Amino acid sequence: MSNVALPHEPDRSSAVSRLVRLYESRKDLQTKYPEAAFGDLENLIGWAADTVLKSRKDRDARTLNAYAAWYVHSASKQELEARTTELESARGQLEATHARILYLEDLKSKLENNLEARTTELESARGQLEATHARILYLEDLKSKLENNLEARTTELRELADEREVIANRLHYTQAELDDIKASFGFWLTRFYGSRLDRFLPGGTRRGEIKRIVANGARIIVKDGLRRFFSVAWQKARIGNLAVQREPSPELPSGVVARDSVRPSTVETGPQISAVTPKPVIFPEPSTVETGPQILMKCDRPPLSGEPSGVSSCFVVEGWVIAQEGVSEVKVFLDGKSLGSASMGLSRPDVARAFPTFPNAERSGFMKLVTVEGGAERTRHSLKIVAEGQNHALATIEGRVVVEHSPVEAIRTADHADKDAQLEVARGKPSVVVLTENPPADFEHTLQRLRDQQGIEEAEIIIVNSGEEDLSHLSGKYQARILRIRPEEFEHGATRNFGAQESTGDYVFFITDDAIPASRYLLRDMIRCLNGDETIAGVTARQIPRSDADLMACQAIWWHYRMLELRKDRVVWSANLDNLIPRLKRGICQVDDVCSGFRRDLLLEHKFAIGQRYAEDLELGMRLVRRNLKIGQLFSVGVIHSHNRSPSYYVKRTYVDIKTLSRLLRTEKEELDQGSASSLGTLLDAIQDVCDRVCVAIDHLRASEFCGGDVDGTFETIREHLKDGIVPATGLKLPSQDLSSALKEVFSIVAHTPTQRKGHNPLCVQFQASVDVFRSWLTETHEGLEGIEEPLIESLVKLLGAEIGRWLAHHYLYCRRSRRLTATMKKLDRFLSEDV
Amino acid sequence: MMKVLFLVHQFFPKSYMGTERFTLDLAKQAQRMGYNPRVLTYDRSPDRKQFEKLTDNVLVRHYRYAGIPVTAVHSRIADAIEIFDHSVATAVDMLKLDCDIVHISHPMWVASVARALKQVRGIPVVMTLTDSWLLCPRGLLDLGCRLCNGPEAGARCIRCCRFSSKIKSRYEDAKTLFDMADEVVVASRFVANLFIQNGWNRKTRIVPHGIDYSNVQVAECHERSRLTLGFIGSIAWHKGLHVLVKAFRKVPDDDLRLRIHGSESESSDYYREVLALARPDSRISFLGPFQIDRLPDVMRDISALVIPSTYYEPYPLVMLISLAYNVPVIASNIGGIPEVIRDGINGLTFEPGNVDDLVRVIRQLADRPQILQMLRSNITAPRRTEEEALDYDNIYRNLKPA
Repeated sequence: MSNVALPHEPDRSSAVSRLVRLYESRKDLQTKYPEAAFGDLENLIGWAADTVLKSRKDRDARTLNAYAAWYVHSASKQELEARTTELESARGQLEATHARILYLEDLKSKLENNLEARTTELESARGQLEATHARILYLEDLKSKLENNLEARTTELRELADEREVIANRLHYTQAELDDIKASFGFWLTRFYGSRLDRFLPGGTRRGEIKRIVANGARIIVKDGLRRFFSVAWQKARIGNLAVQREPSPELPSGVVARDSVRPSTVETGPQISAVTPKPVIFPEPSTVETGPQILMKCDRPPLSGEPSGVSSCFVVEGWVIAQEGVSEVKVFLDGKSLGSASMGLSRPDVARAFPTFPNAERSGFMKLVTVEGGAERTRHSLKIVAEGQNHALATIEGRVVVEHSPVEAIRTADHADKDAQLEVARGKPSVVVLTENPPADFEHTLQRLRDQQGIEEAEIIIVNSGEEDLSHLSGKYQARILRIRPEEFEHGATRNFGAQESTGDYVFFITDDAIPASRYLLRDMIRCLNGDETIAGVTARQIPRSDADLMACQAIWWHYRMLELRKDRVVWSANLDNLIPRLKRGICQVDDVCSGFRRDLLLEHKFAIGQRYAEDLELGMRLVRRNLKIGQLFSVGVIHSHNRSPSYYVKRTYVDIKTLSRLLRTEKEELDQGSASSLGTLLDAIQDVCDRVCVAIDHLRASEFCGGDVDGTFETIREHLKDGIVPATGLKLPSQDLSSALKEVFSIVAHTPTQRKGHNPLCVQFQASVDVFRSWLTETHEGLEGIEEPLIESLVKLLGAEIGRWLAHHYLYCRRSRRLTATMKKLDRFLSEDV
Repeated sequence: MMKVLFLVHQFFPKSYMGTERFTLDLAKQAQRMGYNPRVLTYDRSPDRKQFEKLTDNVLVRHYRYAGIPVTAVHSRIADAIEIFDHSVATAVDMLKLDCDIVHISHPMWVASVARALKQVRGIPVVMTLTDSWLLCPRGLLDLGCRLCNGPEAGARCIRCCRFSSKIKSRYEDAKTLFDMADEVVVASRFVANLFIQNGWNRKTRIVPHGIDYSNVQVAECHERSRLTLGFIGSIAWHKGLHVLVKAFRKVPDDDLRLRIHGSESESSDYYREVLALARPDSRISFLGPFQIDRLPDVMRDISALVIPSTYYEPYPLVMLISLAYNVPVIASNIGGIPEVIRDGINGLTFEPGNVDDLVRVIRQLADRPQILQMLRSNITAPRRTEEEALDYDNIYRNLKPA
């Protein structure tokens, strides 16, 4: 038994809080262990343990000594766990290797067996081939015999046809004579009934019945001849009933339904069938006409007689139907509702054998696939099959089935109703505020996706239109409220506050007009996040690049989330925000107005800042975190949003971003580090130098066909050109006319004539760092350059544009802080801040 | 970032059907979202000059298509019916496939690669069932091209389609693959039910396909004096072009046109039959296949797209493309189609193979072309590739957390 005293668990919270306080007060620790800001303290505790064990001299070692035992114990425990994990991983690998060996051995034996089987098959095939050859010889002989036979039969057939024609002529004349006889006989028969036949009839026979008997008698004479009439009449007279009986039905298989030709009122059918009008029949009183069975039908699957049979939610109704005069349609009804016609004409040789006299028996099969929408595990339904003959006779089979629904899970944004998800409606009414000025072409996609959101209470959609275009036609289509403001009234913060004030929901969501929700459950998941904790004030969802996004746009989104360390859904906050380094501040406070949501009451309390031209979302996020509120950042849901911008836009956008973030995140140190060029002219010369180097590098890459498509070779070429050394001036002839023009404008504002720079250029090092980030993205996502050579050049130029914007912004901030802002610098600032 | 290996039975540029388009669009979007995708496919008729020998029986070729690296393999002894092909399986190690997730877009020819990677390296497998091939190599049509509802563990295949008894072992292999996959995904509820109905009960996810809108240009709709029906797809019996041609010819309206865009060998009997059926009617034009960049022009010329399929159409991409272009769809009421096309709302449906029913629909449109305007106004833009990719992104992340 160990006699070492283990640290008590109550020590944990004190030890951790002391360590976190230390972390928040020390920027070197924040830079080294950024993950600790998001709750991952493993490495930080390791550092503390090393420090207290004196393996690392540190000024705060004494502070930590009070909980030395806990840090050491925790670190040891973590190390033990890591080692255990490694051991398990090694064991797993060993097992995998073992499994692989077994698999390969198994594969080998299977292949051997396969080879053996194939050899046997080959031999068998050879035997079959020989047999086939013999059969071919036999068939050829048979064919020649049959051909001879066919010729003889053809001659015979021709003679028979001639003979048939003669007989047909004779039959025609005989038929005419017979008709005359029948007519006179019918007249005689009527008189005979009137005078003599009463004595043959049973007592109480009514006059109408007599007429019916007469009609039947006439029909038999017309159809089957006098001999048959007398035979039937004699038999019936002997048993005292002259009514002619039905002709005997063929014996029917069990489950077969037979129906006679009947009037619609006597048929039990669904509403669709009752509208069928019967064709007029030959005799005046159709109800008295007795005919043979018209339609025979049987349902093979599912069995409809007896106990209800169990079927899956997608099942087949299969069976056969025959009729002397043909079947026109078979309809299937589930719970009284028509599912449409079944496919007919399927081959049924078994039916043809059983009913050889029916003309359609050979192809009498029918089939209908029935899909029952999900519900409880087992649901009972009535199933009816109605067949209609060419003569409008009907036959019906009815029964019950029990549908057993299977576990099918509809994933988010599935086009089909996800019943479970619908049941779990997130509490709270959402209001969605969409700001627009000039709606993009697919603006209605945004509205459609918002309208179709699932798992929420009915959403309120508010469109704040600051443009000239009339959007009132969207109001009815998407149940949206359109609020119009004048273009000059638009202001990022104020307009959003206005939208929030106009809303009536519990939660207010903001989405830009060019962002399309990528999930039907976007709002539901955002509301659930807000509902998870009362102190969560805001929530934001990720951006997904559009399918037409260029390399630079994709890389920018990738880098944004990597920089924020956002890889999964999380809730973030900080009790000591201002002590964190800028990157962590941004990571914690980032609420992205492309898609964000807030508790309405908290939003109306804190509001967006007015006069904030950019990053109004980050500014609000920082104020919320400072008030001990939390931010939800979702990675599992998002909106489709990206822009393909020009290089000159990147110059201006980055310039503005840097200026804004500098104020919000207080990035003085970076400004001092990177904006310390002695003068604007010197900076422009350095920019000119970088541009020249990039131009030459691009020419070189094109000449070498991008080093044969090799990623490493291509980026090494760029690196070589960014190293110190004189590069011939290109006079701002960049591959992008747009960037060249923007830079010429900058040079013109400053009235600077570029001179060739000599010596070390620090901007080359900074640009190389950006290129390296881009390279790491490209190598992670693309395994080669084939097909993306020119997009890569475009991206390099855009990257250069972004870097130029950054350098100019840092220089501006450096000058402002050191109170050296000149009129030229202010003029340049106005140019770089416009049209963004 | 994760490396995803897509396995598909055939691929661009040789083959460009719906499954290939789904695979390419998803791979490209995954790449935009930071994944490293690669496609492994099979080439049935390889050009020997482009391929190199990997093993005695397996040839291989590496190339790129639309920025996606592709590895094409060919086996001399592969069998199109079998699920697992041992010759390709033995070559998996030599292919040096480096991936974190295997995504089967279609298992034909390539399923053995997924099995080997799963069994030996423990790599998670996602399988999207884009059709019924796993159940039936004949697409659930019997020898007489009649609909079949399932193999009954192979017994029905032997009875109706005269397969040898080997079909039973194929069925077992298919079930093994189905059970082996960590996630089984389908595009429509119909396909999910098709497998469940055959007793393959497991949790499947429904992720409807998306459309790459980067080339979609919705034209302003002007009422045309002539009603132009369009057909886009393979000219094969199960696609039902004969039904459309027969029905179209029964509506003798001079203001009607039918434009057929489809690929099929001219030597095909079916193609010749349909051609003969259509030839006397000058209103019908056969325009052959077209490149994807011509799609906006093709769609601009069509008033309504007809999908007259006579088999269980799982979830046709051409239907979604048509809706993306705001062109109404007239389609057989079969398979996954009714899950998207609601009769009289965003399209019109008719009974599969029923010429008279299709005549009724065409006549309805010819008599009252304003119906098209009504249908167009009800069309909701179908899902985008980005939406579909986000669903798969969540699936991949669940299987392989960062």
